[in-house]
Amino acid sequence: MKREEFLQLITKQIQYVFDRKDIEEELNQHIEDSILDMVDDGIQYLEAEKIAIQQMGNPVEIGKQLNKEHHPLVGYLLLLSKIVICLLIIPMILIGIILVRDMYYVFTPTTVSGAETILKIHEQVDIPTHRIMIDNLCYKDDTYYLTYRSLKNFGYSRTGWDTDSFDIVDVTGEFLMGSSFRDSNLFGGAGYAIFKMPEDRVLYLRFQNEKLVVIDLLEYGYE
Amino acid sequence: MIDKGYISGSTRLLVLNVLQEKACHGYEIIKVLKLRSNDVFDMKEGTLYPILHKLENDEYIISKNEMVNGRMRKVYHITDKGVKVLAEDKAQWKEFSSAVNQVIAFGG
Amino acid sequence: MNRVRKLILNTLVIICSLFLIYYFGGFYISKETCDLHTMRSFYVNETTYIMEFSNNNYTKTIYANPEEKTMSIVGSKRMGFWHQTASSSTGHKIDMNNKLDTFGSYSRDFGGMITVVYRNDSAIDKVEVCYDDGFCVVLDDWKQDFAGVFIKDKMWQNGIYKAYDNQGNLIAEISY
Repeated sequence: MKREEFLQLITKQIQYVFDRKDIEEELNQHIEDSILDMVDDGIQYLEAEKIAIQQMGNPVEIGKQLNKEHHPLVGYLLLLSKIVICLLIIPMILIGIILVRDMYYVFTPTTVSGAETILKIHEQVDIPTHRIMIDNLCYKDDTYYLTYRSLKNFGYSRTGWDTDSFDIVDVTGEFLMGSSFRDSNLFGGAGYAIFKMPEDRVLYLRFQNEKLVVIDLLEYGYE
Repeated sequence: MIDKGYISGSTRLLVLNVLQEKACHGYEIIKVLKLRSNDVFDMKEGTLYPILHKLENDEYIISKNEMVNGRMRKVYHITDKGVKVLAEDKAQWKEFSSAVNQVIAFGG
Repeated sequence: MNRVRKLILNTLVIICSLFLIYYFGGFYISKETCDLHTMRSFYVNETTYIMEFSNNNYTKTIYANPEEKTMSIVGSKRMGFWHQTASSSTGHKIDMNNKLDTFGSYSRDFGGMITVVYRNDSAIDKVEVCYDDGFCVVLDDWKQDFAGVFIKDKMWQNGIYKAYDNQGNLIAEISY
């Protein structure tokens, strides 16, 4: 049998096609080494090749045994999984970046850029749909900002629309809140509300379910 | 020629033993086995490869492509897991062979 | 690492990635749950299904809450098996002082405008709407006292809504 034919007979038994080349190379190398040793001992190349091939054994048997160790199901599934992962790489990197960034927003109290944080409030409010954290009192250009973060409860909504807003009123019920800003993130939101500082320095935060939370700024150290 | 039955049961032991001493490519392993056993172990050379590939799947050996004698070859190295299983195989073999020896000594 | 272990690892990575995309991407298996979650954003929690309008893969569904007398128009889009929130969704408190009330929504994504009328008087048999551009339509397919229509490619316009009984008498009229 010719060497070509011999090796083909073996690799034909390997059902996972992508391993055939490596196996052929390894076995071919073995036959080469075998021939070279025999040539060193004085045997003619062509004769040595014939003997070397014969010494290898039954090609179909060898191929079948090798096929058991190169299981096609595992081989093709692994290949498929690698392709799927390649396709998912870009979305995953994007999600990874967004996740990390949003987790940063969740774990660090909100501040207003360019404004001075004059009070740390860090008060937690639980409403049926969210957990809201009133973070800081900031001040810039004669304006007072009340910053907050909100975490939506598990199973609340994955649509990205959220209701975590509140009003700021004074002791008489008069609205103190001016404009507000809110940024959504994967876990809820973060933002601030601009308000007019009341004389008594006490803020009443009115939430959606009529819940009222009192923030006495004097208690937090406001002078 | 030794009965194939005796050989197949202990090929893992034989191959791992060779590789523990030195990392080899396929042809080298055959040569060492033939040499050491004074040609008693003279198996069909191609059948070594399914054995090597199985040992690699079981993570007892690992193959690396290395330059040997001017050619790129697949060279097999024994792993820590392989060293452990070799020690177990050797212990089992000692126990087995001494038991056989005892039985046949008795028989005469 | 042998192939089987690599395969298991890859499969786990794929499952985790797909789950993250599913969870944070706002994909829903049931349109109803998707709509329910969308409505939570304007404080509507319990509703009954009234009717829906579909255009390509966009759907606007009309829900109503009989106790609170509110109605909502909720947008969703379908992608294969999955639903996601889409287009504008809004709620409206029905004016129970009038015999007729109307609400609607327009969005470019959806491809047209929807107008819905509510009859507060069971004598109302049909409602005729005429718009500023002369386009008119009749609503008489009542589902739980609501009737609506999807007018394709029409931008939001004001119209005059006239409600008639089955004798043809004008019962109510509003402009919206």
